[in-house]
Formats: sequence, structure tokens, C-alpha cells
Amino acid sequence: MLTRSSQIGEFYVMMPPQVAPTGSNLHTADMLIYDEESDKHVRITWAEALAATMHSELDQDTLVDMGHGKTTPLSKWVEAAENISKFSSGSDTSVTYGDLDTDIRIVVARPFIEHLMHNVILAVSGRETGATLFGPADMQLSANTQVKTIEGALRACAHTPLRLAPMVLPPPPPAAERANCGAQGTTLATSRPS
Amino acid sequence: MTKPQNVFVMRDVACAGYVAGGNTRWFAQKEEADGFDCQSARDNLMSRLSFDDDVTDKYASMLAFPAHEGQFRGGQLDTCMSVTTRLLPWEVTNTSTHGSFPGGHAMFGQYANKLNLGQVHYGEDMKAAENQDFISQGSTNNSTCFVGPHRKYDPFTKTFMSLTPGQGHFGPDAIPGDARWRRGESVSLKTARDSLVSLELAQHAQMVYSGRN
Repeated sequence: MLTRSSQIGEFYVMMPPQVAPTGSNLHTADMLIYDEESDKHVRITWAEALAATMHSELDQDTLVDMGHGKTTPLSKWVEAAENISKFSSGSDTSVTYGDLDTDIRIVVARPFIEHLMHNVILAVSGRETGATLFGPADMQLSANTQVKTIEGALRACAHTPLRLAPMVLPPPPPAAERANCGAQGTTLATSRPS
Repeated sequence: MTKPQNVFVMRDVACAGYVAGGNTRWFAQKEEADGFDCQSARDNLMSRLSFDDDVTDKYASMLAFPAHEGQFRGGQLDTCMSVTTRLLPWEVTNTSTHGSFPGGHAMFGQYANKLNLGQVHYGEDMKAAENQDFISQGSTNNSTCFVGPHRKYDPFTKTFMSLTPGQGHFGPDAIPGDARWRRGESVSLKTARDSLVSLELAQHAQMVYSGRN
């Protein structure tokens, strides 16, 4: 099989609770995702993700897309996101569910997840692949390709005159001789009456 | 070959090994101190993509961006996004704005500048990438991200967590045990998951850690 490196990314959407929590506020805006290196689920807190946006280094007047042509300044978004952080982490109990903007989101992206991947070439067996048996082949799929190419060429020369004029075909070599040459009599490509 | 319709190349049918990018470390996390900054994100991003650390082989994987629910409702950001200067196909044919980027095109401008996102695709062999060739004159980075499986708070379930299914090629869920088939061991997804103690697996999958008041 062929092997190559392949990348794909995933993203996850963090959000505050969409209805008021029935119990504690704690961890209600957190998220669990799978860590492939340690083979376990890992909790990502809202506060951690908020810090990872690096919002303090961005222009606070940048407009955040709210969909349908609406926007809001980044500073307003940060203010609302920090409220959610306090609510979910329990760091400020004065923040209640009613204080939250439930439309605020943090998108966590995990791009460039990279694996070595197997790739497979499938082909219909025998001549259905399209072997012409004339000239060099662009691609050959088989075991023992060299012997099959030589035998195939011999057979092609034997068949070609059939379409033009009757002729006496040379007898095929005995099965034992073909076996000694490495021919595989079990495949459609190489089997023929002896 | 005269009948190419009888030959088919199946790409990426099974994992042969894990390389990088699947952990939960932040690109923006400072290496020697607490906190996050753009400089670290920029450096760690390039460190990861160039594999410059052969010794420890520890790279970061994650970025975070501000967003708003309206962007999902509006359809600009639904199941697929690109985190770099490379746009999605429908963005190229539409207005050439990066509407799928979290926070929209203006936020993309901020991050593209701070993280130097253009550098991700420097030196790529575009022809090889477009043709999905197996031989390329340089590495190609795929910035496309699909929704991945994640669990969030849900007051309506007994476990108070519910799964948002993944829509990428690794399937709707990822749970402990999956590392085996993802790193190329000769096991199926089901066997890898079943080899864990089933009760613990169920607990991990459903997040039934303890009783809740």
C-alpha cells in the first residue's frame, strides 16, 4: 500500500449555557474534547480558551461578525465573554445567568491534525484493467510482473494474426515450464489452456 | 492502460501512524511562563509545521477565536472553516471575503497579521496539491477544519453533558481507545474501543463522573 502524510483540522464551538443551569454554575461553559496523544478526554475551560484568543493584543475596535450584516466591537465581545468566564469558573458569584449574553461563542480550532495514511490502488483483474500488451505499459499491477510481461507479449503476437488471416498457433509451453518461469496459473491474466 | 475506469485510487483509507496536531496544547501558550500571546502563537505554529524539534517532538495544536452565534445562524460558519489565508471554494467564487473565519473577515485580518497566517502556505507545490499527487516538491498544509466531536453542558441530559458529533472524516465521536487505530495499530475502531474496560469506557463517553447536586 502507498503511504503519505495527510492533514485535516477540526473545530469546536464553546458556548455559555443556553438555559439557566438547574444546579451549580460551575463548568457550564466548559467543553471536553479528545486528546489523541494521551488517549483521553480533556476539559477546556472557558477562561482558558478566552485567554488563548489573545484578545488583549488585538485592536479592540475590530468588528466581530454577528451574522445578517450586524457587527459588534471586539471590546464589547470581550466584556461579555469575561462575564461568562466569571459565571462558569465561579470566580465572581455576583454574576448571574441573567447577566450573560448567551450568543457569545469561542471557536476552538485544531488545524493540521496529521497522520500517515494508507492509500490503496484497486483494479479489475486481468485484461479488464485494459492491458494492450503492445509496447511499454504505463502501469502494471501484479506480482511477478516481469514474467507476465514476457508471456503476455508472446501471447499478443500469437493472437494478432487471428484477426487478419488464419494461421497455426504455436503450442503453449507445458504447464511445468511455465511454472518454472514463475507464471501464476491461478489468475485470469496468466491462466490459459495447456 | 486503456481502461482507467477499471482502476481506482482510494486515498487515505486507513491510518498508518500519528504525526502531530491531535493534542490539547495551545499555540498561543508561552513556553517558559504562564499566559498567552501572539508571538508564542506565531512561533509555535511555524515550529509545528516545520517540525523543528526533533528531540522532544512536542508541538502545540490549538487556536481560539472570538465568535458570535449569529455567524452560525447566518450560514457563514457552519460545518467547515479555514484558519489561514486560503479561502473555502464558495468564498472564492462569491465575494472573496473570509466569511467563514470565526468573527468574520475583520477578525481574520487581525489574526492574519498577528499570527502571520500567510506563512503557513509558503513554498507549497500547488500543482501537486490540486492533483492530489503522491509526489510533491514541498509539503502542503491543509488549513480546512470541520466540526469535531466535543461535549458541552446540557441541563436536559442525566449526565449534564451532550455530544456535538464530529462531521470530519474521523467520524462522529472520539473516545479513549481510539489512539490505537489512529496510530496505525492493526485493530478496528470497534476492537480498539472494546478493548478498554467497558464500564470505564461508558463513563468516559457519557461523562458520568459522579453524582451531581
